Amino acid sequence: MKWNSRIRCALACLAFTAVFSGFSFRLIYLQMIKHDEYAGLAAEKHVYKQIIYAERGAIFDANNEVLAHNVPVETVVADATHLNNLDAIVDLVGDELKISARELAAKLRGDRRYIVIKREVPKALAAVLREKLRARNLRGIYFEHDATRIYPNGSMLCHVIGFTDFDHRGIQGVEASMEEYLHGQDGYRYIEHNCAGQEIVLYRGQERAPRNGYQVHLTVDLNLQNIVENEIDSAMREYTPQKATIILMRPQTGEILAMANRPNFDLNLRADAKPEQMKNRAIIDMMEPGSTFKIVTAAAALNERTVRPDSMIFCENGVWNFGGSALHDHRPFGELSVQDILVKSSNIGAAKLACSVGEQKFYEYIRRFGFGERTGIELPGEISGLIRPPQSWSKISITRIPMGHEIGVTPLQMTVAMAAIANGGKLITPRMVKSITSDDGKTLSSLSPVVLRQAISPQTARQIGDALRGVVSDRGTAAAAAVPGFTIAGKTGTAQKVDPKGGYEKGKYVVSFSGYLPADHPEFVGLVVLDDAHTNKPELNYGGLVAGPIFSRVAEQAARYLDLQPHEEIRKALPVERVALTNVPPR
Amino acid sequence: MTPFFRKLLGLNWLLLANMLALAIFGVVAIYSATYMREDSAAAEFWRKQANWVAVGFFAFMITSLIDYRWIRWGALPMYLAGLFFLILTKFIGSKVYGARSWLHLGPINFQPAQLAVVAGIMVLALFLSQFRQMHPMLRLLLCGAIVAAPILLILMQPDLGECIIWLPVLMALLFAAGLPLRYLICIILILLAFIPIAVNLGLKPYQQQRITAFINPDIDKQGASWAINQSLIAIGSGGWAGKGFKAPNTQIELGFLPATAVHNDYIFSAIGEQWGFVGGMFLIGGFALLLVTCLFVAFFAGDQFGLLLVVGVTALIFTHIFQNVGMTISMLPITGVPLPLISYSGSFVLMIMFGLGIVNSVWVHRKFAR
Repeated sequence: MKWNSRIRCALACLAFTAVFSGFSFRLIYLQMIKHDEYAGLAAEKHVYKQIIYAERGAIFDANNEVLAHNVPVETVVADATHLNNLDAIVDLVGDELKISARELAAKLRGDRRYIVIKREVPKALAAVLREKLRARNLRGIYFEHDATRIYPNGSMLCHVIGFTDFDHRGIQGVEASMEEYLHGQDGYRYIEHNCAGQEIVLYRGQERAPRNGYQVHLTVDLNLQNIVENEIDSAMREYTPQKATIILMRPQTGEILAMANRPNFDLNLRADAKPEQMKNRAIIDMMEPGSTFKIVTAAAALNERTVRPDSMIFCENGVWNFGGSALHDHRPFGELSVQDILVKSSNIGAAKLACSVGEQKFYEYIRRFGFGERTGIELPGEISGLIRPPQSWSKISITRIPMGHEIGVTPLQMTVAMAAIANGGKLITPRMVKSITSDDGKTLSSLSPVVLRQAISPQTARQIGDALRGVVSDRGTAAAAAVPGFTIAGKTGTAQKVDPKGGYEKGKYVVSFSGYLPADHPEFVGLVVLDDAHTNKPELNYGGLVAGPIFSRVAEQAARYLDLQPHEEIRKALPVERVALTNVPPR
Repeated sequence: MTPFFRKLLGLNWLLLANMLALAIFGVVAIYSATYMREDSAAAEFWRKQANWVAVGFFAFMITSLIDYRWIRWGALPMYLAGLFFLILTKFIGSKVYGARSWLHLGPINFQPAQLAVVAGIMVLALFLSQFRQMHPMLRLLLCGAIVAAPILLILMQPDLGECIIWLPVLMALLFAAGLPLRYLICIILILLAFIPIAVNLGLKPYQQQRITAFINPDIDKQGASWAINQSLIAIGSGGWAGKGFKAPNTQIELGFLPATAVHNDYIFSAIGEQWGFVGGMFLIGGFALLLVTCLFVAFFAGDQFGLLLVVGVTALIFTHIFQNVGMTISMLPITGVPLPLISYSGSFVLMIMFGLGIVNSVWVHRKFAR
């Protein structure tokens, strides 16, 4: 036996040692130094974060009728790192979901990992697709439960309810203003799956349950809303105005009972709606209120005690030259009491009342009635209107503003001002949301009336209210607004339409009627506004003749629905023609 | 029967214990890598492996107690049988992953290439020990002739991994047989020079892909580099102590390691993931101890033949370990070579234990020489 061979054996030993040391170093590198990186890779390979969408809260009316709720659908998504056979997947998915193959391929080839392929896929279709993918052993496509928003009443109350975007974020109406309550909090779940892309139920990791959105109950009563919608529809047919608004509100609490605007749109077909149709005119349209505003003027004078209700004001027999400009009444009046100035709607009388309190005080009262500031209703996009301060008034402003010109107010502000007369002088914040409940029925917050301020004394309010009853009498401007069996207080308004380019549009009027019922214990305040109504006789386009009868019909049905006790002898509303003959209404 | 008991007591107990420990660890590792499988075949892997270990151990004991000098009579017939089976495989062998390398004879499935390599070692050891005075060049050429036939037959299967095994084995035998170093260095240089040509012209596309994947594992992660990347992720995520025996949510369990290979060619990845660095080091340490024990036996072998036999078996085992572990930790390109004693590969455990039996026999019978 040669020693040579033995030495060579020992050398081989050294070689082994070297090689195994190399292995050891490699293992140290892989398992110690790069452990975190590989552990991360291992997790990423088989963990997939699935979002569990929280269900958006439903919206109900005052009687728990559903206004907005959800229908389950699925969102088809892809995890680009899990796709195993891109071409086959593009073919199958594109075919099933009706997406062009080229578009889909471009989407999947992008550099994003998480790709939303299609939203709002019906459950049945998703199930078919899922089965086909499994049968062909295609991986990387996942399904997330989701819900689509459904509005059972279509276009009814559309501006108030609003709608959501594809991400389930409210972008209009209550959907937007109550977003933080309705939205809820999405949960998630880490799903582990094996290399075939199948979910391993056993090894679900972390998960956070979704918190469903809260449910919002509106103050709106769908029955009243229905009455209002029907009447506004028939008004649209009869007078074909450019736009129209009707609001019903409870004066004591500020609860909005109904709110309708035209033009409108179907919430379920919102993609087709034009911007014009989506505006909630009640809060974002500025109009000149016209004579309806005289209640503010008279209230200022009476509350400041510069006049008494029976003080006689000389109305200049129809023409008053003031500040180098003539102010006209629609009909010459001589001496009129303060109340009669409202009943007959004398422009000159109103101007003189404003002059008696002075510019500064008058401006203060305008603001006290809430004009020039947002009412604070729970709806997005409300405007504050346009009330200029006295220092920027012209010389004749003090004669024009009292009759509701030179100012911009929203229909809702006008309603709130009328409510202040109805409820004894309190300026109340209008409310749209009655309560918010969690999805297990617990009430989280509920409405309590918010009185902003006492705008005028209860006595003044009563005095104005008395005058407003006269308006809806045979001698007033709105005899056509009467409701059989009830005493109504109200005020008409007819304003020339403001031209956006400046000045007024000839022959176009915004007609309105605002009133409440019953006059003694008002249950609701209503406002009807028609913008650019068309009557068969242009000279009959007045608030009392156009908006008054609409209010009458709405109020009569509403009173019946609210089960109000008629206590007056039955008195029918005068036909429009007779009112027009006996009592030509004011401009 | 005193000589029998003397033999029994004279066994290399370290070798035996080490071998058994490795084989049992192999069974456990296979169980741990396949217990979660739903197919009944996979669930049986560890049991079958245990059976092979039992059979192999039996063969080991028998071979240990038989004087290795008798082997010289069996070497040539065994070599010829190996060639015969290799030729037979060409016609009736079954295809596994593109290579016709398995032979099904009745209940026994085995790879004739494994038989051929053990027989080849015996023939080479016999030849090199018998013709020590021959001119080195002639010895070299004849050795080349001895290995050429089986290598060519295996190449035709084609099973590149099994072919590559022959080279280190042959080199180790020539080295131990005292062939002058200048010849060996020449051979190595010539082989190195041929590597670029062989890679570019001789390899099939999938083999070239494997080399690309080895050099740059980031290319084509879903395709050619899939397995190696999965192996690295499995081993790397195992960390210091591993995820544990039967740990849930492993790459193995979730099926990211190739399910067809996790219990044989990729068993080291599974061990790396489940037992971590500690387990991997114990395994490599065990192998090192086994190989050093073998070389120790070679060092004290009674004659040149015994020494060469042991060196051949040691080189065979070492080459397998080197290739297998090297590929799973991305130090070598992927070749489908099992890990000795650990991998589930049926007859291979038997062949390795038979080889170790020869080593043990050389140890037991060293004193009877001189």
